[in-house]
Amino acid sequence: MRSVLALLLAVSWIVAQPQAESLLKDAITAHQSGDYSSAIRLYQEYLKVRPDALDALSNLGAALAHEGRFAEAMAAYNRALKIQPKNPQALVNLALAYYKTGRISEAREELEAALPLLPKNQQVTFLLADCDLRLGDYKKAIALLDPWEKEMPNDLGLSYLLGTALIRDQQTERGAKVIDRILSQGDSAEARLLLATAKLNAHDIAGAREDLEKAIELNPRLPEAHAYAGLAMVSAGDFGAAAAAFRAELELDPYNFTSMFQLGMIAKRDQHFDEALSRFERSLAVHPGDAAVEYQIATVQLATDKVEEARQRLEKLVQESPRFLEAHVSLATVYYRLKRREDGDRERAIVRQLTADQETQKAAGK
Amino acid sequence: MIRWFLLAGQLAAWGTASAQECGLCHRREAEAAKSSPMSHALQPARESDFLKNNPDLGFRSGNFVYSVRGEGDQLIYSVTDGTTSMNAPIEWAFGAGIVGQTYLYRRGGAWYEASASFYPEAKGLDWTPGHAGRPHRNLEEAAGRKIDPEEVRRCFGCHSTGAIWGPASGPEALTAGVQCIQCHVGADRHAAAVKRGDAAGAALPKLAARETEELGNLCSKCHPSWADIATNGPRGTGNVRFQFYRLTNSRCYDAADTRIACIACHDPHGGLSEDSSTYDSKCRQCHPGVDTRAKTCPVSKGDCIACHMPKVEVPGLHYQFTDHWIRAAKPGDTYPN
Repeated sequence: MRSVLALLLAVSWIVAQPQAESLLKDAITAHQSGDYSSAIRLYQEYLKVRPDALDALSNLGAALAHEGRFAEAMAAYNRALKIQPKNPQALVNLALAYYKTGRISEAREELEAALPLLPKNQQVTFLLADCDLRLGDYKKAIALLDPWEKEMPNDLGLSYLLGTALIRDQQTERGAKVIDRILSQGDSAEARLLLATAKLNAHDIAGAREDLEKAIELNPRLPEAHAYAGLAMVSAGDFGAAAAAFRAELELDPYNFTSMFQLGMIAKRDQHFDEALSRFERSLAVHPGDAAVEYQIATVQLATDKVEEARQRLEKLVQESPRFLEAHVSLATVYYRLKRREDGDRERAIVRQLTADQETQKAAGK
Repeated sequence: MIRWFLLAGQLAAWGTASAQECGLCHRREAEAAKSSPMSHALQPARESDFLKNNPDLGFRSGNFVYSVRGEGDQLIYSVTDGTTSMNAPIEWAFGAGIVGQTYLYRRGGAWYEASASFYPEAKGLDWTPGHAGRPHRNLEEAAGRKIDPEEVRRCFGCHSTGAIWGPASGPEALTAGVQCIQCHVGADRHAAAVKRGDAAGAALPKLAARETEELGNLCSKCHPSWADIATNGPRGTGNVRFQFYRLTNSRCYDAADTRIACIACHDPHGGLSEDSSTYDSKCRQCHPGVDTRAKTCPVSKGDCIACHMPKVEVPGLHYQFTDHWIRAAKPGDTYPN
């Protein structure tokens, strides 16, 4: 009886092979012709027969991502990576899915894993540098882009990325050279944004606003132009206009960290604490573990009498960042609110010490 | 009982928890409050004594000339670069004028803080704090700083009482200055209960019974707190203006001990004593050795604050502030931050 069953299974498997291959062929045809929903269905059927088929999993992920079904796409790529952890295409595709859903630090992890497998790949390098920029890791972005600058000194995209990283890293002199190179190719939104960033660093708010207005006029869809315009408006105390600029940026890029975070700050300032909390939590989804966001959430919790929750968050924060002055300040306030006077006094002593250290450093810097 | 009944009748005739109302029972506090700086923290510009008594004020900075002059029943703030001028009626005068008085005007529906403030010590106009360093590239920038609606609300929120905001950018109604209900939250409920003759419902928590830190937090609704300054600065002598921050940094500050609370030395209902000896008795609450932790001064038996709370002048503010960071300050010592 057992041998009959085995024979039947073997026969059905042999019969299924050509059918499966035909499913894959149809799926690819549908995918190539832009019929993504049919392609997804056919890939899924094929994978029931061949669950370990790497190419099919990768293609399924791509079709799902095209349809905006990023969670399912990520699941498909992760299945592919379980089968072959160093599959470069699956790593890059997974990174792209993370990137498109604003999960920048996860995108960076995948790209870092992919880069040694694709060392000369421009797309991977530039995307990784862009992730570093978005995460505020400017030095890493510069280190990645430096070797490429020698190879393609006139590439506008590269100059723009490198210039942005240099200016944001306050490497003004080198950044200015890159800006000049961009400007030598004519006025552009990118060059204006870079100039504005340099001016913002130098606290020339009015000058920065002028350049940002021009950048937006030249290219209203330029990534981060509205966000930087918002920052300039915040510096000028024009919070209503700043909020509008940040919202405009989020229209273009719903995962723009600066805009989400700054809208949270404006909501907090206006005492719209629910909105502030929601903005900060979304910011945290883009920059997981970001100390500045964690701190802002704690201050909102403190302002809304969730003192115990604020305490827990602040204690974790000062443990991870012991020199975070503002977190110690708020923790002292929390302890006094909780009638833990000795703990409050201890935190205040830490604040005094940190302030004195800062003053000493400042004096030494002069 | 009869007094209670009569009181309820009088209260019913007035509004809810106005200073007049509160004064029916709390006479001493209400009388003292009439002359307190807090109750004069805001005035309609035409009622400002400084502006009334100095009808033609002016100062010059670079190309710009600033002036305040009376015109009919209005006070006009004017800035000119010699070619063009900006003129706007001043609507509100902020500050009782112990240190200075700052003015707000409106243009095109938006509020502006005038770049020039009045300083009694200087007997004239000078830069409003923070304005000297702002860019003054054109007349509008030179004249004042545009204030967004939220900041305007905060200004009036601290300097007035019961401001009602309509759809327009300004307050529709308010009582100028800090009135009872600003600190005594629930005073309106208390007054209503008194009107009803409901003695139990009239109970109001005594603020003086709070611990130092709690009282500090209450004052910090308007006076910047230790946390505000510790987080955002300013550093240097500019922070001498923020008394609670300075006091909290003192060695003798104790978050629970009310002998070091703001109201231990300052009567929130009354004026500010300029006679330094009046504060000696406050220091003696701890320092004759009653408290074993507190030292007795080896130098003097009086005028404690002359040495322990030195006067510090903030550049541009024409005023010597008392440094509330209590310490043995010696000439030439570095200003502690």
